[in-house]
Amino acid sequence: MKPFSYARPASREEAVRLLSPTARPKGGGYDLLDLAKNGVSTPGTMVSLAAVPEMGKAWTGDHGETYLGGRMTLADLATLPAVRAACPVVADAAAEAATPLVRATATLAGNLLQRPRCTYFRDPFFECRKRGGAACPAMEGDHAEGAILGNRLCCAVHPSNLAAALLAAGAELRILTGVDGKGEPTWRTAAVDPAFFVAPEEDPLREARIGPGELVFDAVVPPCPSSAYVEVNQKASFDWASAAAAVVLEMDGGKVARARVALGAAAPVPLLSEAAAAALAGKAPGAKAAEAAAEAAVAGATPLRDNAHRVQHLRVCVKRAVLLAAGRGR
Amino acid sequence: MSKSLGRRDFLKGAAAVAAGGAAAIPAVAAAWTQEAAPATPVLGPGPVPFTLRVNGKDHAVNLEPRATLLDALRGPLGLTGPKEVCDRGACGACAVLLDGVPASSCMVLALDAEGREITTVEGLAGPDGKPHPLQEAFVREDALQCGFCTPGMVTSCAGLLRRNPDPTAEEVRDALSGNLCRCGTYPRIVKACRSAAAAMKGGR
Ligand SMILES: Cc1cc2nc3c(=O)[nH]c(=O)nc-3n(C[C@H](O)[C@H](O)[C@H](O)COP(=O)(O)OP(=O)(O)OC[C@H]3O[C@@H](n4cnc5c(N)ncnc54)[C@H](O)[C@@H]3O)c2cc1C
Ligand code: FES
Ligand code: FES
Repeated sequence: MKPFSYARPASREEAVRLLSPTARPKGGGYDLLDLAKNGVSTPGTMVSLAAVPEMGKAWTGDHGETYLGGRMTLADLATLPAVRAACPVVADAAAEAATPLVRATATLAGNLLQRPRCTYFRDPFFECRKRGGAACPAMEGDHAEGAILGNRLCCAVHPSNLAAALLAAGAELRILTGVDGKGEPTWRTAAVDPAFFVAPEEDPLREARIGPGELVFDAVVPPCPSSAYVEVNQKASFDWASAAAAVVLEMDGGKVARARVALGAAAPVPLLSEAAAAALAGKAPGAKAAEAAAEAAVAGATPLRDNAHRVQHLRVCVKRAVLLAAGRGR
Repeated sequence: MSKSLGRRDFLKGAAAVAAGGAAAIPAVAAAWTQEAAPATPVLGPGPVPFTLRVNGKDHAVNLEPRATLLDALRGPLGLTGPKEVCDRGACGACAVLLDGVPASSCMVLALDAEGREITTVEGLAGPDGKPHPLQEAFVREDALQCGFCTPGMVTSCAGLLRRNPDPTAEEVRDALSGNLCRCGTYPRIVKACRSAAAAMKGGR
């Protein structure tokens, strides 16, 4: 790794004050260090969030919403009973991510904001649109783990399990933007919705709409007891998702009143499938409706030469996630 | 659309649901009550003196911020139990316990381990040098071939037994899912871990 500086602020005000285009927040550092070790990017300063007190915890609000601190570990998200009860889709997604060694230190915000895992992106030897290049070598090269939707310019899939889960859950981020004259933090909220993510057509150099001086303080997740995240992997544990679906159902009696279906590991950004949601609305969430949702989710798929298997993987994920969500929270 | 954010508004109505035990609303950080908080020092990029607490002892080190915990352990501290294999958090050969929880030391900055209790495989043996029951069980069950993954395996097992003294085979496999063994000794490792658990219950 190239040399860099380091700071470990003890409050959120100090943390946000230290950030700049070159001074980046560091959660677990899994992505920052990987990019630095590979020579893709190295911030001038890593601002460790490890000592910012409130950001490592979960809270329950007055209306049943859960506040998940931005540096909560994936291990805590996966195992805290309160998180599992209020928003199982988030707990599932955290539990399915990576390995116990990674989950012990990787954080919510870091997972959400990690860069793509495409081999070509992570190796500066290759040209890559996500590093300012004019072409995507994966189109002709190895794209067996590439996108099957939205893959016209770049076929790196969005790597984050939590991104799909937070998108399906309709979570809102509370983002610190700076410190005002009185020393109090200023902030904005950002819904984790399709507009939060940036597709390559708009700007290949980033995946999320968040400024360089901004700090994700927490994610506020509405209660979603009938929800689930399911992924398909080549290996039973450890592996990155070959496809993933996060499903949140609002039930009305035995029928789905409203559904949100997010597709992970399918496109350069996590996608909210309106068509899959429409296939579930007003239906009993049984096998028939689940299959219709799965079919709707993959309807526009444009698989590449070597990744058509991922279309079937995505179908399976959507179907299973609908059925799992339907059995929960009742 | 930036709003000013009072501490009370921020946490109003929020009750701690868990994480780390007790904790009601977090303590007021100094910055809330003072005109200006003491500025956090920005360290490096040159060497920075600090202390690492490893296997129960404090060690003074002088390292650049880019040094990983694995660099610190294998370099200045001379603890070569944790191995460097992938150097990307993908194999578990470098696993150590951080406050009792297994973590990949190749992806932890040494500075981030300041103030934490670090245990390497060297620190698992008793004060008299008697091997840990896990180490004895790995030998007894012949749970290694080349042995390169073994320190990480033993460390992950130690972390598991601290939170779950009687794991099922499935739970052992789950806890070891971030530790790779190229020689494929997994079945014996699972057996060794459960055999150690039984021995430890028997008061050994
Ligand atoms: C073997 C292996 C397998 C893996 N498998 C999976 C998998 O299946 N699914 C999956 O989702 N991931 C997987 N990962 C990736 C891993 O989960 C991520 O790298 C990790 O979650 C990143 O979190 P972090 O806290 O370490 O991020 P960091 O590296 O600390 O940060 C990542 C980015 O987020 C920014 N950031 C961090 N915190 C904040 C904040 N509070 N506010 C604003 N910006 C912030 C940083 O500046 C940086 O840009 C795997 C990794 C490994 C090594
Ligand atoms: S060397 Fe650290 S996980 Fe492989
Ligand atoms: S014993 Fe050789 S890698 Fe595990």
